[in-house]
This record gives sequence, C-alpha cells and structure tokens, in this order.
Amino acid sequence: MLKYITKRILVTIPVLIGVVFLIFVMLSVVPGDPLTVMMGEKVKVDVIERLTKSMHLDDPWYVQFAWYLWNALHGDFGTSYKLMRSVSSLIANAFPKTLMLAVTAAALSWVIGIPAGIISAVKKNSLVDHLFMGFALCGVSLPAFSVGMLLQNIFNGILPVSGFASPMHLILPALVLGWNAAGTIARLTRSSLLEVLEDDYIRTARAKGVAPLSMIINHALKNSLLPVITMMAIQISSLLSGAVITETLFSIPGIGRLAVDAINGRDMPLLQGTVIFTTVVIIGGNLAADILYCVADPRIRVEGGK
Amino acid sequence: MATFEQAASLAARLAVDSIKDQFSPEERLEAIKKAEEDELNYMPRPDTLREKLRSMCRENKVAAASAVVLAVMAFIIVFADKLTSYDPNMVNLMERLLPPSRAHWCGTDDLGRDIFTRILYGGRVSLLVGVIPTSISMMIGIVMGMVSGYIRQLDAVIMRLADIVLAFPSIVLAMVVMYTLGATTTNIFIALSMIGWAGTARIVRSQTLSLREQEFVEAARGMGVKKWTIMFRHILPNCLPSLIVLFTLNIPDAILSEANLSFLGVGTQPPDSSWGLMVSQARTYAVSSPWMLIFPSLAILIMVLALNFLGDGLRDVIDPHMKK
Amino acid sequence: MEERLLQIQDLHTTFFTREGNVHAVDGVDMEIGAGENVGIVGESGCGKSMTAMSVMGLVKKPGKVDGGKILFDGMSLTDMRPKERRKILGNQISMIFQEPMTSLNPVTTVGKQVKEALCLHNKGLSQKEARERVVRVFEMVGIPDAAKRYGEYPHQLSGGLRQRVMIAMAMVCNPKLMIADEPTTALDVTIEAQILHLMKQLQEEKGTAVMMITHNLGVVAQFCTRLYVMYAGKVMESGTVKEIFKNVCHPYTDGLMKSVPDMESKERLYNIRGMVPSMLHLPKGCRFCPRCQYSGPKCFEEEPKLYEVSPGHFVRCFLFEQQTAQEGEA
Repeated sequence: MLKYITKRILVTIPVLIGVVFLIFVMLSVVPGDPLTVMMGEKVKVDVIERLTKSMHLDDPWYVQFAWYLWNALHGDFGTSYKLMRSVSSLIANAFPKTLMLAVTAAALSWVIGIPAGIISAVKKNSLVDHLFMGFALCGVSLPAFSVGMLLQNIFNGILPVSGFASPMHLILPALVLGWNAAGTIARLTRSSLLEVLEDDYIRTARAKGVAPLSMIINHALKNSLLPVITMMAIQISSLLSGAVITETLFSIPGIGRLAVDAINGRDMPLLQGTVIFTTVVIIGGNLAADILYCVADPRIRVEGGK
Repeated sequence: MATFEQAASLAARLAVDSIKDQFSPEERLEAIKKAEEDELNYMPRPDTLREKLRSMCRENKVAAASAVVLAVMAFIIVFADKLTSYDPNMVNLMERLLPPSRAHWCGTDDLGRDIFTRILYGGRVSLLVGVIPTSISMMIGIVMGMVSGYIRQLDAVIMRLADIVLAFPSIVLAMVVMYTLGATTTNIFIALSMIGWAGTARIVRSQTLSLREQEFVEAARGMGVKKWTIMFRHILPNCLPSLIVLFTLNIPDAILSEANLSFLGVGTQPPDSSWGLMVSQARTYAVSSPWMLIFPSLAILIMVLALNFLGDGLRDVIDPHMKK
Repeated sequence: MEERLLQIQDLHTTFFTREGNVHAVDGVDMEIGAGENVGIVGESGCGKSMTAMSVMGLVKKPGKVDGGKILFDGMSLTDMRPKERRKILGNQISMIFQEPMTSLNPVTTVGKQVKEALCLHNKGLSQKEARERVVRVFEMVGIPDAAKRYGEYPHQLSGGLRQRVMIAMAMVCNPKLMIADEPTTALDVTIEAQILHLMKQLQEEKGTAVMMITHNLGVVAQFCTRLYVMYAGKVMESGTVKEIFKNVCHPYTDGLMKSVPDMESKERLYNIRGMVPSMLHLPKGCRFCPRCQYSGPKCFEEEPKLYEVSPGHFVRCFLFEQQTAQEGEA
C-alpha cells in the first residue's frame, strides 16, 4: 500500500507543475499591461523601468515562469497589483473563512446526506425514499445562487444575509452549500447501498440467520460507504477551494471571493496565487480520498491480496 | 464410476415397453422441429435500444414524464417568437416590476420587460449552452479517452492532462477563459468544452481498457485491422450506450455552469438573456419582486431536474452498472 | 429411510417478471432423512438451486414461494414467522454457496464472519470461547494455521481455503441439514476432491444430512445415497443412487450419464441435443420431449406423472407408464 501511495504522490507533481504552467500561460495572454493595471496611466518612465526589471517582466516568458516557480516554492506568490499586499498573506487571511464555511457545510451534508441515503435504500421505492431523493435531486439541480437568493429572501431580517461577522453569518451559506453536497452524498449512499445489498455475501449473511437491521449495519454499510468516503474527501476539497458563487453572493471574504476579485481587477499575481492554492487543495483532497480508500478497504490495505 | 453399459441398454429395454402409437422416425423429426421452432420464437433476444427505451417508458413513469416535459420545453423555446407577442428586449418603464397578471404571466422586470417572454428567449441560450459545449466536450473526451485507453504510449500524457483540467476549480478556470477571450456566447461554448472533456475521457478510457481485452477486439487485431478502425468501428459502438447516458447527465452541468458564469458577470451579456442571467439580475429586487427570482429559477430547476430524471432512467435500462 | 428431516411437498417457486411468470420450481416433492446424503442433479437453470433457496427462504424478488409446504423436523418453514425462521437458518440448516470468491464479506476477517454465525445462535457464549470454537472448527475443516487465518481477510485466502471457511461457517453450529449448492464448481479438480472428501468425513462424524446440488454425476456417485434428477423445475427421476445407476430409466438421466466422459469408451462423447427450454415458454407436453430420442405423440400432448418402476424409484416418463400399470395388474 505504501508503494501505491508513494506512486500516487509522485504522479501529482507533474500535474501541479502543469497547473501552474497552464495558468501562467493563460494569464500572460490576457490583454493589458500589468504595470498600467497596477499603477494607473500616469507613471514616470524610470519607475516603470525599475519595476519591469525587478519583476522580470522584460525576460522571455520561460524565464519568468522559472522565476515564478522558484518563488512559489518559497511561498512567495508575488504582490497583488491592486491591494499592494503579498499574495500569500491575502490567501492566509481569506482561507480561515473558507475553511469554516467548508467544514460547516460538509458536516451538514454528512449528517443529513448519509442517513437520508441509508433510509432511502432500506425503504426503497417508498414515499420516504421518493421524498428524500426528490429533495436531494433539487439540491443538485438548482444553481447555488438561486437557492442562496431564495434563502436570503426568506430569512431576511431573521438571520444575517451577508458578510462574515459572527457564526450566525455562516448559517445561510452553509445551508446553500450543504444542500447541494448532501444531495450528492445521499444519492451516492443510496445507490451504493442498494448495489451492495445484491452481493453474494449478503446472501451468505442471510443464510446465517442475520436479522435485516444487523445485516445493513454490520455487513452492507461498511462496503457501501467506501465510495461515499471518496466522494466526501473530494467534496470537502472542492468546498475548501472556495465556493466562488456562494462567497460572492453572501459577501464572505474567502478564497473564492478573492479569485473573483482578482479576475475582475485583472490582478494577475493574486489570481495566479489563488488558483494555484485552490488546485493544490483539490489535488490534496483527491490524494486524501485515494489514501482513505486504501486504509478503509482491506483488499488494498492488507498485503497478500491478488 | 457406475455402470454406463447398463444405461446404454436402456434403448433395448424400451423397445419392449412399447408405446401404443409410436412415432415413425420422420414423424418424430417433424414434431421436434415444430417444438423447436416454437421454442425459438420465444427465445429471449437481447433487448434492442428501442426496446429498452420502451421498457423504461413503461416502468419508469418519472423518466417518461421528464422526456415529455423536455420535449414541450424545447418546443416552446424554439417557437418562442410564435408563442408570445412581446419583444424580450423592449424596455417599458411604465410597466416596471409588475407582479404576475393576465397580461404578464410571470410579471415584469426592473425595465418593464415581460419575464415570461424573456424566459422563453433566454431558454434558447440555456438550451444551446446545454447541448453544444456538451457535444463538443464529449467528442473531445471520446477521442482522448479511446486514444488513451488503446495507445498505451499516450496514456500517461493524456491522463495527466485530464488530471490538470480536473484539478482546476472549474468555475475559476471558465472565468479565466472568458476573461482571456472575452464574454460572448461562443466563448462560453469554448470555455465549457475545455473543462468538460476530462470527465468523459476518463470514463471512455476505462471502458476502452476493458473492451480492448475482449475477444472480438483481439480477433479484429489478429486479422490485421488497423488501430483507428478498431477504435471507431469496434470499441466506440460498445461505449455508446453509456455515452448516451453520460450526455444526458452532462447537459445539466453545462446549464448550471453557464448560469454561474452569468451570475459572475462573465457569461451571457445583457441585453441578451439566459436563465442564469435573469436570476442574477433579480438580486437587487429579490425581496420586493420575488417573481423576478422565482420564475427563471423554476425554469432552470424544471429543465435540470427533467434531464437528471431522464438520465437516471436511461442509465437504469441501458447501463445499470455505470457510476457517475 | 429413517426419520424424515426435510419434507418438501408440492413446492412452487415462481418469478413474476415482466415477460411472464417463470415457474422455477414447479411442484417438487422431496424428502431427506436425518443424516442422509441426497444429491440433486440437473443442468443449469433446472430449478435445483431455487429449490434450495426456497428451503432457506432466500428467494429474491421478483421470485416468491407461492405454493406447497416445506417441513423441517416437523415444523413448517413456509408458515413460520421470519424471526422464528432466522433462528433455524445457520443453526439447524446451513448452506454452502457456489462462489467462494464472492460469498464472503471482503471487508471483514473470515474468523469474525464465522464467529458471527456461532454467536448469533449461542447468545451466552463469551467472545473468547467463541473465538476458540471457531479456531477449532477451522482446524476441523483442515485450514492450516487456523489461529492465524482467523484474522485474515477473504482476499488473502485461496479459493479452496475460502470454501473451507464457508464449510466451517456452515458447520460451526452443528446443523442437522447442510445444503451445498455446487460447492466445488468454482474450484480446481484437485481441490474439488479434497473438499468433497472433507464434507463426507464431517458428515459421517457429525451425522449431518446433506443436500448436494450439482450437475456432476461423478460427485453424486461418490457422495450421495439418494438422487433427484431435475429438469425445467420438475423432478424427472428419483431413487437411490445404486438403483438409478444400475437401472437408468428416464431418457434425460440417461443422457446426463452418457455425457460424462468415460476413459474406456472410444465413442464420441454423447451430448443431449437441443438446450434447456426457456422457462417462460415450456413445451406443452413432457418438458423434455423435444430433446428426447424416444418421444412419441403422447409426449407432445400430455404431461407424464411420476411412475414407480421399482420400490422407491420414480420416473416421470410415459415409457414407464404401462410397465407400472402392467405390474400393478399382475
């Protein structure tokens, strides 16, 4: 298993470099001179020259890329054109907010999604099943901002609908994100459990005289949650990478909002920094999902398997 | 083992136990033939795609209803100009923010435009954005996936490329593309196609990997059929059922992505409308004029729900083991 | 026959599918005495597994036992509450399945899985005692290094060992009846002999009755004392193995026997022409008649009953109708 994980980690390195490269190339073709964006139109020529030199802007693109990579490895993603602060500190500032939101939403989705999926599978084709699955499907079928606006509308005056000042501010955005995530989790849990219940070893358990409830808890659940665990890890990493829409709608100064501001302000270093940060989070999440799967599944965990 | 010669003597013994009206050999042959033909007529044939669809309509009422809903929606969207007398972009400040009434079924927006009319016309963008980028991205994904699965030398490169695309937060990637290229409908197609192919490629690759080991592909290879012919003539048709399902389930994703882009201001540009744009335009007025928010949201919800139901139904009959 | 342990009377198991109702088991009568070894033979899809599943109450939807009685030890399984029935399953009746690869839970150790069967039916047992007993059973079924294997997962064991685990699971409560559904089909021939030998040995030691479901007449010849031959949901011939092997009556049984390769014979291997009919559309008369080389017009029209050709030897074939009638008259 160690070998597998090592291999898996090594594979992510070219992906990371590719991501940085891609974002670098894409942003370098964006129209507009970065210095004009940064300083405005009226700047002294010698200032421009000095800055151009210090920022390696007159070097060929591959030298710029190399410099960027080198600095990024040292945690230096440059300085935001617009905000005049180091990108790293901006990210460090925004991330805790995104983290809190992500954790709340994820917890909400697990607490609701997994039991709902299990109940739906056990009571397959019952009214409860249809209700739960309809609710879950609505969660993945509505755009986040529609749900968000609706909630803002309904809870206007009852709960804070914008900003990030207290835990209360978290409730609505977490509901928006959590509904969507819970929908995915519930659907996956249900289908996976139903599939497992058809397996041969469930028949074996029935032949042993195991009662239906114990069958689901002791025999089916462990197997059926394997794909759900993977999905949970992937989901939390995507939540951590910043819920762009929700953060914009609820004016939460998190990572997603930072990225949108960077794009709107043509703030290249900030955009590069946030995108690289989020991709690292996503890649890390996928890696964690794989490792979790290995740990949870004895077929991979224990050596000697075929 | 036991005495088979005993068994062999069965015929001899049976001759003694005469059945009154024995068959002549010809008669028996005929009777057997008739029974076998009868049998063959009842042999279960593998269901054709059409039969599978029919059985889905019979058994999965929700999926069948979804197909009908989608057909109706497509119809009224395509014939929008015949169905409503309003101009979707006509500003009428005398009639701003009117609640739903007989004249304006879904009310009017902040510029006095009829919301129902704008939903019909906006549906054109949403429908196009659902179908076109999904088609393009799936075509790219199919080729990439098959090449990756069949030509081992290219596997690692293509899959890392797919990993890179999948590692990006997709909205941010789409936003960057839209910013680089400019916010037009065509560029939405390009942005969404660039993002969407990777998922399809992964699925097609895994199917290709298992199909290439099967006998009929090995037989074709043994006969010297060319690589590309094998891929497109032998492997692709076997992936098709799951691709149909995937297509149905990818369209809602594209529609939602366009809505998100429009919300962030880099999707469809005013005065054109799409459902996503209409919802985001309702932001300021959501409290005072909730119809501006509710009706376009409903339009998105109904279309996406119907597509999801249809996709799930198709998957159940076509490809029950596929997972998304 | 001694005391009747299992009695199946006119059992009907039907699958209600969209295409029509499939009578997988269509009026089967069967008896198994205590400690007896009974074989059920037939091609795949003939209803032999479904008969076993009906006894276990494991028939999956859309299938249902919709007629007949199953009596076990004087109790009617078919009329029992599910909770009562579960007390018997795994305890007094146990089952070994065909696929040792998939029949064990991949994420639980094999020891735990066997222990569960034990603890479920012996509530007072302490964890330690249970573990010791499982290890003893492992040793009994010939699992080497039993204590170590206890903590291993199914994927770490070979197919033969997994089947031994299944046997251990079936034997751990000392059941009165063990149903073995093609227990050796998925295994290598060498392992097959070992497993059969083991089952026979356990059966003799513990006095467990065995219902051996197989398509292999060789297995029956080695293992069983009595035999039921099934075809398309019905029993075609039944009797003691000795009698049937000496005096094959039903043309189908005859065909099955001839299909077994024989080293001494130089003749081409016999095969029964045609194939098992679709259960949705059975021939009108005798189910075997289109494939039978002796069929007459009557066979295509009417269904034969079971005729007793000699005491305890029943055949469902018109060829023996007159014989019995004459004997009856005489």
